Amino acid sequence: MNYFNISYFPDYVYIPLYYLIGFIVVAVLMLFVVLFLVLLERKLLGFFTVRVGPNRVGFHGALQTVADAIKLLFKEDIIPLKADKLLFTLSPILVFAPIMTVWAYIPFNGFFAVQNSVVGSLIFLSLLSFPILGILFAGISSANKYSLLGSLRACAQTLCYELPIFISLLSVVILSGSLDLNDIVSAQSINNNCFGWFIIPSLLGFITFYISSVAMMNRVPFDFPEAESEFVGGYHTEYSGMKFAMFFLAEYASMFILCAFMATIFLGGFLSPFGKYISDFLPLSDLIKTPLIFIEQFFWLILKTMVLVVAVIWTRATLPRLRIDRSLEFFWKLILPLSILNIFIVCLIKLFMGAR
Amino acid sequence: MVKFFRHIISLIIGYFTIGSNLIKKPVTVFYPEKKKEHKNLRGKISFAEGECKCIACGICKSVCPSKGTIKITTKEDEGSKKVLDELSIDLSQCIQCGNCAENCPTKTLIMTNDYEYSSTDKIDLIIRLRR
Repeated sequence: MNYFNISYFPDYVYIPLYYLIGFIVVAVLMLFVVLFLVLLERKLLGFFTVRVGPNRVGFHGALQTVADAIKLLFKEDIIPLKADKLLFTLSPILVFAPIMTVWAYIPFNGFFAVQNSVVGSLIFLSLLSFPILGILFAGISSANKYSLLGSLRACAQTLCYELPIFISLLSVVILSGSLDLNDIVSAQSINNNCFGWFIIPSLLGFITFYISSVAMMNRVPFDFPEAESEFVGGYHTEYSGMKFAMFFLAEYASMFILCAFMATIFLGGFLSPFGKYISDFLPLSDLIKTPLIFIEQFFWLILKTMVLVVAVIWTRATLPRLRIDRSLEFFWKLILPLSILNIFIVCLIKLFMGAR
Repeated sequence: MVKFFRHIISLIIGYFTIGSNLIKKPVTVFYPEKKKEHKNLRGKISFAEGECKCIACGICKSVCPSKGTIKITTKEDEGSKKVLDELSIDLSQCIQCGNCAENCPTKTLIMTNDYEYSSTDKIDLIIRLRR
């Protein structure tokens, strides 16, 4: 927000204006990202299974998700007769709102993060554990046994993935000495190339964080809350129209934003992997160079995020769904000890390699 | 512990198996846009183009296993010679066996590649050949 202090507006104008601009940026970005991600996933899943994916609407199916969105908008919004109407309506909002809020905390480049916070990473993960409330409410209020079972499973799963995810974050916090996402990114620029990234000292932490966040996104192989082949649609069985679209949006938005978070804390965020930015080598004046560098930083973050997103989709194409008890065992008995072991390793590195 | 590493290795093999599909050619058949051309397909029956060569021998009618599909009416021309008046085939009853086209002495009846004909009216499915 400090960047906007130079404006000539008084406080009561520029603070709401700033947040309005931030909201619009986040909302538009999110909508485009989700539309793109859904298409990317369907296309990639097609290629992974030796098909071609959607190819009817637009150029090679480019407008498929737009068509789907329009279809969802015009669908009838059905509320079951025995459903709790208030909770039924509230739960998509409870799932969607925190995930949208979280987008504000990612530093997209050195210049722009909608909200800077000293405890940004902590707020990020805490907000992302909110949607489980929405999922639970959706299950309870639907008056449907499949929904209830799905949301119960979601809760059981939350207990097992939240702990490793926070402990893995702790390793990064130990290395950088700060919870601020901007500080975490700048702490990774110490070597001036990709060897300064936190994935190298805390590789184990990255793996545990990655697996836990796949569970957090409710995706294969940990998609018990909405296991289609086991209980119809899980917690969103009874939802249709725009309410279902909100669950759908939230799923893909959380997938992207968690990958962006992982790229920020483990893969150097908006830093270039070569130390220097490509824009630095261009023979241009500083006036043009500075905005170019910001665009390039944004590009690096998106590139790293996309690599992680493709890995998530690849996982979906490869692995079947685990059994619920096996998955809980997997998290409690393997991932949690591994993430604690990672803390020890990171502490030793910090102790013997000195302050990074 | 050995089992654990074996699992991980099988996991990596699985990932690469799926990943190798990316460079393969899709097996999808683009059906309505691209149709397969079959050489000896017994499709919709039709009449040979050009001048009508039918001699009204009636072989097609006698070899047809679906009775009542082919109807032939004849007339007499100037020299009191029996010639074809009308040959009609009801495609809704035709089983596309190809007997008639095989046995036709003048090759008037032929089998085409068209295998997806349909109609909302039964009358449209009756094709006629007139002299």
